Amino acid sequence: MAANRIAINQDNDLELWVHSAKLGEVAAFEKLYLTFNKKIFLFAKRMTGTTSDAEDVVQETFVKAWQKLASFRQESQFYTWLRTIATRVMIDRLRAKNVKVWQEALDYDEVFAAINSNIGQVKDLEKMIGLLPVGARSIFIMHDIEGYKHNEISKMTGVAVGTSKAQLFRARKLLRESLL
Amino acid sequence: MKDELVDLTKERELNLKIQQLESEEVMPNDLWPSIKQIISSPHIKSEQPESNQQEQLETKYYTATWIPWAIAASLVISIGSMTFSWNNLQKAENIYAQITQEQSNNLISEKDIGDLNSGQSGLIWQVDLMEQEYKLARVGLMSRISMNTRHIDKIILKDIQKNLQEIETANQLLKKAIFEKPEDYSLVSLLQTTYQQELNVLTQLAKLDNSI
Repeated sequence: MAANRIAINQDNDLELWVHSAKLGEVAAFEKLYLTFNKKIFLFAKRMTGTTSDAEDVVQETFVKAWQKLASFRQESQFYTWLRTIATRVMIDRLRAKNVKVWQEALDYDEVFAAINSNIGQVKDLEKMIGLLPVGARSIFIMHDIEGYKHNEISKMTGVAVGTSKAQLFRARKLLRESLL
Repeated sequence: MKDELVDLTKERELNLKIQQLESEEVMPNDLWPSIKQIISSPHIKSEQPESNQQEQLETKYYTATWIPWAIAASLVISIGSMTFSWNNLQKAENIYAQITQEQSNNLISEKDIGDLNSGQSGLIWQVDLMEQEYKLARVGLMSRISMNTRHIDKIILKDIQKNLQEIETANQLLKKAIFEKPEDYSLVSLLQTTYQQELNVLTQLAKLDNSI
């Protein structure tokens, strides 16, 4: 009961902050930033692989969110909407570096060797994810961690659903083998 | 890919590890001051609803300003042209009635014949007067016809246009002949008759409009 009440209060607060931010209140937007920046940062860090790139993504995401706040219709949760902005920012950045980032073939043996040589006795999944090639890593994070569906990934990245599935399969296989 | 068998134990272990992953991480740097600075900058265009509402209000104001003026202007033009056409029509009808009356009594009196014979200037005055009356009547009738030309059969209209052109050519030849032979009064009389014929044709056409 108490936990439910806290959740309801938090939802009410969020709704109020979003409403106030839509009216142009920077202080309300700051509340939203303080609530979600850590989630967005970790998502961005996993996707980009570096802290500095992740920080750039967080900044760009919140600036874009402020600009597009009027288009947020509160049909979805604010975090889901914010994360979509962040995902698009990161996909644009990845595409700018390499247009065929998601089509590139994954050299299983090479990546497997790299993971095993860099991971010690403690099998840290977070580190293993970081050692995956960019294309496979980003699709694994979007699908298995953030919960995007393959058709959503396909729409955002522009790759075929089959390509998305193949990249995920390879990434999962590598991680499964490395965990042992 | 399809041929490879997936070890379910490993699969479960991986899924468990994924679920245990952290969901957030504290950033080493506080980015809020720089974000605040950017979003507070006047260069950052915010799609805030207030600005949208303002734009909508401005649009409504803009629409409300020019539309009534445009309607008023078009009304003034319409009423003006209607009045002009109506006046022309009235004049034409009056002149036509007058000409018809005078034609039966011979438009040019004996005195006019005397004036005509007295010289070229009298003749010019006589022909000019006749031409002005004819033109006025013609304008009125034409405006009346033009108001309803879509009801007139195209073949009839073509025939009428052909007749009018022939009459116009005859008028020009007659005027030339009158100035070459000012002593021949029958030419003036003939010119008057051609004018009358043209007006008769136009009147028939205007009546045809009314009957439809």
